[in-house]
Amino acid sequence: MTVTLIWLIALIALYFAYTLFWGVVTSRMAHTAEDFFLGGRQIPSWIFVLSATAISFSGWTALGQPAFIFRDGFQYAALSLCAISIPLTGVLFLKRQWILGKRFGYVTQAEMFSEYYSSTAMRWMVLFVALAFAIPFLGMQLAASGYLVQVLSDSKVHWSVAMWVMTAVLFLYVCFGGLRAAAYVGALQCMFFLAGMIAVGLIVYFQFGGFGEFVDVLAKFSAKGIGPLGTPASGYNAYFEIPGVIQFTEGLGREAPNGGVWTASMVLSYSIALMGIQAAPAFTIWAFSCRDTKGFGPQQVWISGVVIGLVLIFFGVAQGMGANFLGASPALDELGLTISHVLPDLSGGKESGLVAHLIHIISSRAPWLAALLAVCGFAAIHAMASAFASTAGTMFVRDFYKPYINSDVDDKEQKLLARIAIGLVLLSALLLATFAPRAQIQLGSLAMGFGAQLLPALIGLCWMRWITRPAAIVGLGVGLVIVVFTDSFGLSLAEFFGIQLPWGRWPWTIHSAGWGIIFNLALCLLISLVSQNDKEKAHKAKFHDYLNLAAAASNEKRFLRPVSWTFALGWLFFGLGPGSVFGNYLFSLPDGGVALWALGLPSIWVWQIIWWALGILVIWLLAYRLQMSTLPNIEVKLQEKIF
Amino acid sequence: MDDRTQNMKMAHIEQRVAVFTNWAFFGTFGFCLAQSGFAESDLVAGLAGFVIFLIGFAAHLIINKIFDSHFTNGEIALALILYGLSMIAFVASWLFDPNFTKVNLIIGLSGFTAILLSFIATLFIKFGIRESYLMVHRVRKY
Repeated sequence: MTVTLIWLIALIALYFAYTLFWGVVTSRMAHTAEDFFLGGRQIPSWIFVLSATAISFSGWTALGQPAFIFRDGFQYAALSLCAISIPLTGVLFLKRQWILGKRFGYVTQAEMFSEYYSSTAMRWMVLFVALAFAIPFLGMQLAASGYLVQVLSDSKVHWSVAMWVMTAVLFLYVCFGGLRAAAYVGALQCMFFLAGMIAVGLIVYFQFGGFGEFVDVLAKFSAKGIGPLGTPASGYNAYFEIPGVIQFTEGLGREAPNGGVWTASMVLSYSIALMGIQAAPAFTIWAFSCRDTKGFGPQQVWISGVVIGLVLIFFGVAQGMGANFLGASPALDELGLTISHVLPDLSGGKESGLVAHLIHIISSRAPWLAALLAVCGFAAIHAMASAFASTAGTMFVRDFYKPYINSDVDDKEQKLLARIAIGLVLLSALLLATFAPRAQIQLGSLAMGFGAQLLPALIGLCWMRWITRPAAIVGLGVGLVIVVFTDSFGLSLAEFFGIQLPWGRWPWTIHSAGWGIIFNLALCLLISLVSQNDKEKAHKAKFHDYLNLAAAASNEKRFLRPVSWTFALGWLFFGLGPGSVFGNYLFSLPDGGVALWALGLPSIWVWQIIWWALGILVIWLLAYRLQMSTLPNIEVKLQEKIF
Repeated sequence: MDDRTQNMKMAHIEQRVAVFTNWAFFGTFGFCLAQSGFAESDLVAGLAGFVIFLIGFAAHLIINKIFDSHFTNGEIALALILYGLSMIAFVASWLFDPNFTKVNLIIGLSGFTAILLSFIATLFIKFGIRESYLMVHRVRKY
């Protein structure tokens, strides 16, 4: 048994002890079903700030972002700006949802939608989205935690064993304490996640001898012209540019785009998918659990926008791009650009293990630190896993059992049923990950696209009473179907039935979430045009009138609205959208070298840094100046108790 | 339980969450860095570990200020025990470990001294120099 493995076991044991401790403490606080489902609606703002950040960014950022940057270069790194786009969803919807939840006593998003849209179908669809999101996404994240242990134990511990053991502990503390347990532990998980990403980024910088030396190697690489992705139309290295605004290709599996898949349209549509995280039913429950809205602004602007943005742009990029020169890329080895061989070959689909191998670099010199960084990775994964598991239990009881099986179910039974549901959801995720990994990856790929399809319905609920019930229902339904059939799962499904669809995955370099939203929004608007009725308007008035009272910006701030929205749309266009291609050459040519690069960095990186900084200004304007994430204008009191 | 009692209880639990989160984070990072520093005779890592402990201590002071609370007897006792045990381990290594280097000595002396000084500085700031002295003087009297 290696020293690293011993320390890994010791630190994991301590981490488990911590989580179980809070599971037990919070179980004693969960007297009622509301305590278990929503932490009694008393989660303090500082805990929300940390745990919501961990949920939003979690394992897919800590493990996935560096891996994809390693594979695809700076064109994927444009998605570091999700540090702005994800909280942008929160800015748009969180405070208003909180107000409605507090006012009308909602526990789940499905309850809220079904009452607002007067529709049982909405409830079922939201429940479907929640479970379709949770189970495969949980499976992917939990499997990633298992692989982390396998790599750091030099394969002495099989990934599935590690995954099952760690999930068992996660199940226990979430089962004991519910949302409050997940929130309290989430505070530490967020700090571990941030520190872990920074530390692993620093490990990479130290391998190069510093930031300047790292940039020098990047310059040599960009001058070579050819990268593993082939050459885009410009003729420059595909790692250093966005390969066009859009490419009208048939889709992956039928026709690969030239120079990489991350065109501006793909980056923008994938960002929409990521926005689905904070539009998801689970995140709404998280919002409902807050004591007040004090934490929303700080979480969106300072922690997500500033801190996460900084971590992704400087440390995530270091991990991803740096790995290319540390032995992980045989193609760069052939070009003579490798500076050391501390990493194994991770090309050809093996990039998912990148972060584990980066941590492994220091395991012989500093086994304690390597073990701790592994725990940071688990913490990042468990933050989201625990949140989605606990809210899945809540939704099972509130959106299925209570309304349709037994409306008189008491608090004790609700808690028991929720605990059983949490176990079943985690078990499903584990079985999928263990026995059907290919299906899990395909389904997991749909998860965020599904979440994003709730955006139009949320727009209707929070902002535009003009979107009618049939519009929201049809839009959501069609959006979900389109997401399925523009991604791998749907293509496989069609093939199973003997239908060969004339497109591949993500046709026209638009992510399936983007395709879904296009159809969803178009149908929402068209159907709303022809289905307006006075009865529905009168019903919705009670929601929107109250929102106007409690959440509308003050008159003196309203002049800021057109300015802020113009700025926000401009940011989306230039930061994540078609305008991002200007960043390819605006400051210098990709192969210009350090001497010609503005700020001594590749033009595309400078562009991302600038739009990150401007993005912070955008969400600050919206959250604070336009009062979209500040305290409500009035004290929000419960109108009628649902429990 | 009335609202006021309930609020006090919640505030107490939240303070506990903050303290536990603080030390679970700074404590583990400080320990791992300090340990790496000693093991590899790495001055930067070792001192960084102790700096992180001090940051954790400062954060705990801030938490106490925000929640209008103070160090509990249990916390003080735990801190003294951990400090004492660490000092014993350090001195034992210094005396008996043949691989103990000058860098290890610098790390340990600097780190433990810094922690002691920060503790004394906290007492002086909170109670004043005279009162801090009288705490010890009173104990000796009896």
